Amino acid sequence: MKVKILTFGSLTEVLEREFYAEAPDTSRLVALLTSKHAALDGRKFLIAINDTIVKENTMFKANDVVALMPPYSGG
Amino acid sequence: METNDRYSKHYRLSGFGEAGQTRLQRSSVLIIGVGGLGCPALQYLVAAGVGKIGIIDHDRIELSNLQRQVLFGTAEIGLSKTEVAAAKLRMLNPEIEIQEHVLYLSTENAIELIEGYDVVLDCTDNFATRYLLSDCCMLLDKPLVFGAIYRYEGQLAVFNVADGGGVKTTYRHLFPLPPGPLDAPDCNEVGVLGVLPGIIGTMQATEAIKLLVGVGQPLCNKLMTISLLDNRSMVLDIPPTLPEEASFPTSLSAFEAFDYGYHCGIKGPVVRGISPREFMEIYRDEDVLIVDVRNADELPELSFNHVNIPVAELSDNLGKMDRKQLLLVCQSGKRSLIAGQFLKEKIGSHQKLSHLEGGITALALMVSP
Repeated sequence: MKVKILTFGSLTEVLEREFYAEAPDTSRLVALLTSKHAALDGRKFLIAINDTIVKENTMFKANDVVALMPPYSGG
Repeated sequence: METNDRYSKHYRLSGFGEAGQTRLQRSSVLIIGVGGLGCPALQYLVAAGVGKIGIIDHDRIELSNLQRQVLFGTAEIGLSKTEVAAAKLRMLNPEIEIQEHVLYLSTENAIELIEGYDVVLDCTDNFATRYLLSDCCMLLDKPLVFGAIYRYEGQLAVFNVADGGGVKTTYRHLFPLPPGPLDAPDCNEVGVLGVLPGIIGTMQATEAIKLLVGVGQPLCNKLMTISLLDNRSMVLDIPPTLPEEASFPTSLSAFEAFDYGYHCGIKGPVVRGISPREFMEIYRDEDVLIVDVRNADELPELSFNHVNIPVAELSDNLGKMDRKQLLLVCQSGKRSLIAGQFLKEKIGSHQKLSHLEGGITALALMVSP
């Protein structure tokens, strides 16, 4: 399934801010990205599909927009 | 009730009025951290007439704070943030009570400090305090207005407040466990646009006022994010189930015994620090590889032989660091220490590992004082 990915915070240093990826679900998307970018290994970030945060592995539908967002600590 | 011209614009505001102003005057807000977020949040909450405001910060004012911490002036460098803020805020509004606490928030003092307030604002600048505060407010069922910033981007949420369906969430619902220290550098390390905390801190004050007055829809169970570079803003729904991997104290007594420094990976392996003087003695040694762990575009450029491998790319480039001794450097010595702690677990004992204490800044001071 082709989905649009938006990245935030420190993830933009490893990934493009916006790109398309081909993956069936969230787990395999993370595995795919981590295999291409070892710097993602062990990183903590939340995944939201179409503005809803998902915690379990979730299947993608066509044209889903997936946000990958790490925690920010600055204040 | 006797009206006060100071709040006349609130009295006239539909949905707010004299009743709303009275609710504010009978309320209390505790602000943890008087930095980029805390300064504007405090100014607006004090101006709005919240009856009692508590301020917690142990830090002193530094020159590099003034680009965004707009309560402070150049003449106040070196003074206590809490004391200077309290004095200025009393001039802004002498009709409210301001409580000063010059201290670190810790598991020993958090419960007593937080219990006495209606709403708490997380304006802190590190994960250990953020998780401590989130867990404590969850255990006390205290509304927590969360704000956090990174470079040009901000996050905002309201925790421990039930939405229409009775559902409440916390920071652990977003990020069940803290990131490793490599993941999330602070403002001192990566920089921050000065107006960003002004916007997010003011929005935190807005959410607190909405909660206290009972107007509008606060950001319960939602995470708002804003990117100032492209004005992209999103509101994400936070699911009500706490992920299984979340591990946190589930009672107040367990909270008091919890080690947040350890939980957030701050207490890592020991990496040998070398002084600028020692650095000058060994930096030309053939066995020594100097690794600049700053990002590629950071200045100043180094005038001696080195390789540049930013912290985030270390794990991809272990093969490039094949000399007997690795000497890590960065701007302040903070990232090089974290990088060292990370590398210590990856490389074998045949390589020596050290980092430059005080960073390039300290080195430059020694070379040209």
